[in-house]
Amino acid sequence: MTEAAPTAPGARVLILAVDGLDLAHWLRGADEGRLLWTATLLAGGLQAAVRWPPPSAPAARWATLATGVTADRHGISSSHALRPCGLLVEPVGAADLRCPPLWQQAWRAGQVARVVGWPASLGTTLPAHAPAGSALVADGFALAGPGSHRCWPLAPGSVAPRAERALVRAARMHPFDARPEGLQPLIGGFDEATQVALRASAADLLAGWSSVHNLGVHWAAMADWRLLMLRLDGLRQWRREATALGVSDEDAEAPWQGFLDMMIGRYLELISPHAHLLLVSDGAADRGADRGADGGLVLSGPGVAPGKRPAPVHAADIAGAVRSLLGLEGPAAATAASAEAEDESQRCLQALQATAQTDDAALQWLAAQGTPPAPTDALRRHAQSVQDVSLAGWQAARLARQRRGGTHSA
Amino acid sequence: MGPAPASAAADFTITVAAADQTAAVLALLPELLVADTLPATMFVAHAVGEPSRLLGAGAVETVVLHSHERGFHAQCRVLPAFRRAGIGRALVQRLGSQAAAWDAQQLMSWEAVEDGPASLFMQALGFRVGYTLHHYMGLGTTSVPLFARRAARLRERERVPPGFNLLPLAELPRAPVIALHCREFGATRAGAATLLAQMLADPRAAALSSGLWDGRQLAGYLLGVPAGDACELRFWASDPAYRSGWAATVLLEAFMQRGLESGFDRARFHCNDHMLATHRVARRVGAELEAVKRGWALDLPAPA
Repeated sequence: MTEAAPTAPGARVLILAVDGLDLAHWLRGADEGRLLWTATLLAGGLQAAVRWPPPSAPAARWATLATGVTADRHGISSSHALRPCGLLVEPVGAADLRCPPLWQQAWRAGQVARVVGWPASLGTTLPAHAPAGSALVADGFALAGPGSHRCWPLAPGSVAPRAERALVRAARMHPFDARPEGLQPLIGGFDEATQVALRASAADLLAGWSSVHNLGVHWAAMADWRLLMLRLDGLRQWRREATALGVSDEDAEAPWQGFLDMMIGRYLELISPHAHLLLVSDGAADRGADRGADGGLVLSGPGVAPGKRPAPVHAADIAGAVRSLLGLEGPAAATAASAEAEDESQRCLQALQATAQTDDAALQWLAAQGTPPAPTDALRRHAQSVQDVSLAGWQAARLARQRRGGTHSA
Repeated sequence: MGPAPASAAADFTITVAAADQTAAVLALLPELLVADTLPATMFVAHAVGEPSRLLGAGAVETVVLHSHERGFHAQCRVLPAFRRAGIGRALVQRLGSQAAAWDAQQLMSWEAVEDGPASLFMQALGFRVGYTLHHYMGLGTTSVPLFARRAARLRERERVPPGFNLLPLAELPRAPVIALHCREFGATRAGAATLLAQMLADPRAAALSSGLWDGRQLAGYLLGVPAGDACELRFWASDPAYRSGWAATVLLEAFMQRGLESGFDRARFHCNDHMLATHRVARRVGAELEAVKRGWALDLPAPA
């Protein structure tokens, strides 16, 4: 991607990451004239296929994009992580990410970066050197859960700085607030039974995307930022539910392409012609758990020559291109084949292999008080399965990196 | 280490449970093992300077489980020998702070409890009654004929809408059952689907469970399970459009009848204060009120 990455003073980059978007369907929608803003973006942008390395967990993929290294080095090799007690499993968070993501690099360079919905960011705190205006809203912030909007929890570590919690609360849309007329464009094309079956899922997805978009628009309209990273989640799950009801992949995705098109238009209006818009997806289908996936990207903005790049871009190279656009200085990530990369990989492995810790003296004390140990076998089995998935993900990522060898080009 | 003397008092401190204390917290709070989500943060009370000498523990489930709820369910337990020393109060305060950090509006009791030491403890901390559950036990041999008579009367008076048939729950389309379950109990669709699949996989539960279906609409459903020497009603709900009492009567009659056929003369069911039709039905068929349990809630400060 380096040919599309001219460094410019004050350059700004908005990354719109769409989890599970089928690029072929999306491009067809633009070709057919249904997606006017998408067509505008494509006409002025550089298109490229993106080769995503394994593992297939979305958290691992987006961490690769954010850090510029593969999962065996950044430490996110599955969606969940085993905690040191050996019993508890949690979604991966900022503490699991072992390489600095783009937003950390921007903050260190004194650039305002704002992030919404990126995986492995829960628990992020703003470092002292982060410039005023920097903010991060972790993935899951818009997850509604089974309760109602009368009480909608927001994890303490999901918004940094904490002062932005009020803004985030105001920007979130709850699925209960999705009105029938608002859902009609999204499910109105299906038969009645399918509409009934998909209504709640459509409300979930509409609310999730709207929550990210509300924050994205609010922040994109400001003049102070250099990097804005937004991630739209949930399309893959939607497609799974719709196709299980007999809807075709393309029909399932079409209404959401329209919604995405509207978002693209809004961002183009807000940031063009002075900023870059990078739309990127990890694609709709995996090539297998240990083989990665094929997605795509479109980059538009100052100095970008429109066209289609003949060779695919490796997902780990995107961060380097963004760094170039932003003029971020500092040492680039070690090349994939270097000894340093291997060291990073081994440190991640050690973290994933951490053994359970138990205070046996506490258990003995409790037993003496008449409180026997709880039956934790099922928990341990589940924890073991999560650890196995993480280790398999690490292994697949490491193999893919080694296969790629010295071809790391960013 | 031997057991503490009954009147043991200790200087204590409350901390976030360390990773190696998780198994000990679960020993003190085994109900967490069946929680919808295991709390990421748990708190322990231990003797000052002796982190392995745990005196109590507490945790909140950081999810609002039901649409009518405004906060998190909390559980805390102090070793009997160390109670009445302020440990429970201190734990609840920490749990309240944690819940408030999530913007929860209330801290709620883990489950409904009968009046007793636990409810007195919560009252002393400012909890108030959030809901009340009435647990009934009916004898099939005496209740079923009364139910049948009442159901027949409802049909004679044309209170039962035409077209609705009582069918085994396992044979009904699953989507409307899941939808009603989610609406009534605030469950997720995936959670409801899993629950129904798991419970109905037991043929004894499937035999006790039924629904009212007219080919298009679900008026209500009931999910029963065997529980020791009785059958027990776990979940039941009527569509809001059919809450005049007939659906409750027909479903309960079927539940008790099928319980009898499965060898259970005793059948347990419960309802909250608002389910007036069920209270009326229970009274008319001579069901015995076995217990009244209350869920408690503590209001938390509004988020800043």
